[in-house]
Amino acid sequence: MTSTLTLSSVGHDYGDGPVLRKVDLAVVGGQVHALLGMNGAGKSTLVHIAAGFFAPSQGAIAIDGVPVRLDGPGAAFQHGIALLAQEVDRGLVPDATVHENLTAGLLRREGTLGFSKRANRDRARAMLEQYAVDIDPDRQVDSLSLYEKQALSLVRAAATDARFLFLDEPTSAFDAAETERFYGIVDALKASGIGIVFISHRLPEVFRIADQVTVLRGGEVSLAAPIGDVTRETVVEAITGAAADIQRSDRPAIDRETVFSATGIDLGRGRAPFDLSIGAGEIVAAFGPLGAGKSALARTLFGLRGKVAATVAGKSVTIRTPERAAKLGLALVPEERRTQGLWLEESVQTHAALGFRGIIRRGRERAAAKEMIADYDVQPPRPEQLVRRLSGGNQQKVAVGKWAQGQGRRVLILDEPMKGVDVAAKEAIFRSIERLAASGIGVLYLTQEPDDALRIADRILVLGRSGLVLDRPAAAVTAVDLMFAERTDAA
Amino acid sequence: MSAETPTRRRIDADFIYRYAALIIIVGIIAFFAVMNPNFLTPGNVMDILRSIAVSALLALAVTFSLVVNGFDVSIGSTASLTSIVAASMMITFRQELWVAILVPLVVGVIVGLVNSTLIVGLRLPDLLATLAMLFVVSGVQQTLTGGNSVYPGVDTGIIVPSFSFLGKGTLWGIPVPVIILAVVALLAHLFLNRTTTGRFMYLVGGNEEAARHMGLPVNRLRVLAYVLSGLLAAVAGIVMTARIGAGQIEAGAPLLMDAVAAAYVGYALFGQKKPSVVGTVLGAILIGVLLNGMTMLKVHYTVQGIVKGAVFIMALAFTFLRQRKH
Repeated sequence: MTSTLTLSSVGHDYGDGPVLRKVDLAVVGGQVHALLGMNGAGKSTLVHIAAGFFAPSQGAIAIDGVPVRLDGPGAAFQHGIALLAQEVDRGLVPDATVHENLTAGLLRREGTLGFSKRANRDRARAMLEQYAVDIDPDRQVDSLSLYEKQALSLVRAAATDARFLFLDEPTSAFDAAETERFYGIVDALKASGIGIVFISHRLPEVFRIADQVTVLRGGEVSLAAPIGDVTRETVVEAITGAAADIQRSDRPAIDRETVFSATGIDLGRGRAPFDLSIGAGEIVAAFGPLGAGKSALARTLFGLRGKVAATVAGKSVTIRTPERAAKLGLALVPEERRTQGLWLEESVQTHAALGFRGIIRRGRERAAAKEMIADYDVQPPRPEQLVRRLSGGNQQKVAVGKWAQGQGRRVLILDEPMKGVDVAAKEAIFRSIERLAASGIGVLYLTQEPDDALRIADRILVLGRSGLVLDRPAAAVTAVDLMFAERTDAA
Repeated sequence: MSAETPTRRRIDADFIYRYAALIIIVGIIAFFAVMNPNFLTPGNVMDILRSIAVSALLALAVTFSLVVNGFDVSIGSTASLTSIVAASMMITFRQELWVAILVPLVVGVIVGLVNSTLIVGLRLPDLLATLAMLFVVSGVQQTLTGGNSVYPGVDTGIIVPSFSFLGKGTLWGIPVPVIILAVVALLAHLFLNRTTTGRFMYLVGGNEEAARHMGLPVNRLRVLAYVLSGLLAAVAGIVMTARIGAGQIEAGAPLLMDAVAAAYVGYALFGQKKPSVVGTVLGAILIGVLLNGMTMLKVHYTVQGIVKGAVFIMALAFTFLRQRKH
């Protein structure tokens, strides 16, 4: 029998203004429900409330008309509600095999102590087949692709009697073939009576697999209808509303001398190689969803993924190693700041002195630290402060500022620099990036946030499944263009 | 008023965690000094320092590998081999002083290069690579001499007095091995703390991934660390030969564990979990103090190991306890 999960009149507030207001959402078993909206519209908050991650400030949740209290994701899971995050790795054990991951929850519930590997493998194989998933049960989970992990997570949720699945942009990192196979899994899940809610930014996908559509704008429902009752235009209008355009502070478009260019950049996964050039003082934002290859682009240019042919300040070079890249005047602020961009057990001062060569003089080191603290507004302003004890935003300031002392920097590559950065720090970092650009450095800013791209860029590139899909001056790009840039790409 | 008390208490607790190892060292020295009036006499202090010079040099060798988050356990064998090489240069091959010093140093550098090739090139884990080299180097040493020690004999060369001076001599009343240790320690300290190369070695050890993303020459820095480790082990081997007056087979092997212990006490010393030259030397002094003090107090040698181990546990526990709290 089909069951229905109802969220009624849900409101939520993190402490600085409501993020959700009187939102209704009904998830019916055996149906696919698309949840759409701009970044910050409240989609993520809504699915996290539905999956018990936090309690709503207002409103009620009921299953088949019976009110339920979801005290945490565990309780939600007891009610058959599961959320699959974008980072699917979180729920899987990388060192175990597919069949072990798949049946762990079942075995625990059944209280089985004895455990036949063969029986377990057969059981897992049957489960995978039921949902048309083609993965060898004996493989280690850490050898699986993102798609296979996502599929495995789905099958596991279904096998542990999940009735309502919430998926946060499940297909954003898939290539075309994987996406097609993923739709097959969704159909099989539907057929077994499971209700699915998925967040998406891809309109063709919505029209392809959804039965119902709900659009959020500014924390309120701006459209809720069966898919047959809407058109692409009405959906886009519901998403963007009237005022969707954010523009950066005007900067005149001028002809710039090219400071960096690279040819035949190959990001792998079947994407077409492309060329890229950055002018002196130009800020180029490369926009793309999770899995679009942004980090691959950053790593490629910095010599961390094999070699790339480039021209730096008029000189033809091949970048093979990060050492070479740094010597040529490239700087990288990597996405994983705590593991790749900083030394948590070292002081701000040590980071400020990374550009030094030879004898370290304490006085000069301290002066460099003070300069960085002033330029980037690092709080608290203490040179000997350990980076571990700084807030995320201030850590990021150090991660950018550590490159400042090096002589002859020409290109700065920033990979998702605003991850986990609060609003105040964000503006400070934006301004320091603009200052660096004003000094003649070319900036490549990689992000999945349309607003950030529009705020900072002179020129915007869009990365998609097939490679580079758009390259335009920022003035000729709107948030809507970015959200649906892949539209041209999806077919 | 009430806001002040908890802060004060936390600082006190922090202070104890940070300086526990140092407090224990000072406490033990004070204890021996009270128990035996001869303990702190200049003569005995020099005895202690001379007795630890070789193992302290080896501990500094380990320290360099720890700085890049590696671990060199081949140093004991390297000291044995270079000791034998130094002795045979003079006794078997009747070479000059400078040859007897230079060749062992080159051998130490070669061992370091092989170690780092295994680690950087073949990507073997540091401990496994250097453990394998421990056996190889020890085997080379035994093969060279047919398993025998190299003693000066009737129809062979001799250990020249200028060479013996390195192990047995004194300058201004200070034993030469202690002077060698002091100079090496000072240079190592300046290198690690006041040059960017040394700083970068720490950064490779602290977060190799970040070092790579910063464009630091990660592999070259690791090679350098192991080469310096081999070089210091060779210095230890030379001093050993000069002190013994012969090339004794496997003379360095028993010193390995003391050296590792000293380096780890140093690692814990200021509660930073960071290897340092100052810490390592103090760790080596702790070992010398324990051995000397217990012997003076006529603690039976069979019990000494138990006491030594217990002191290490105390010295290290505070630092690691503190780390876990965060």
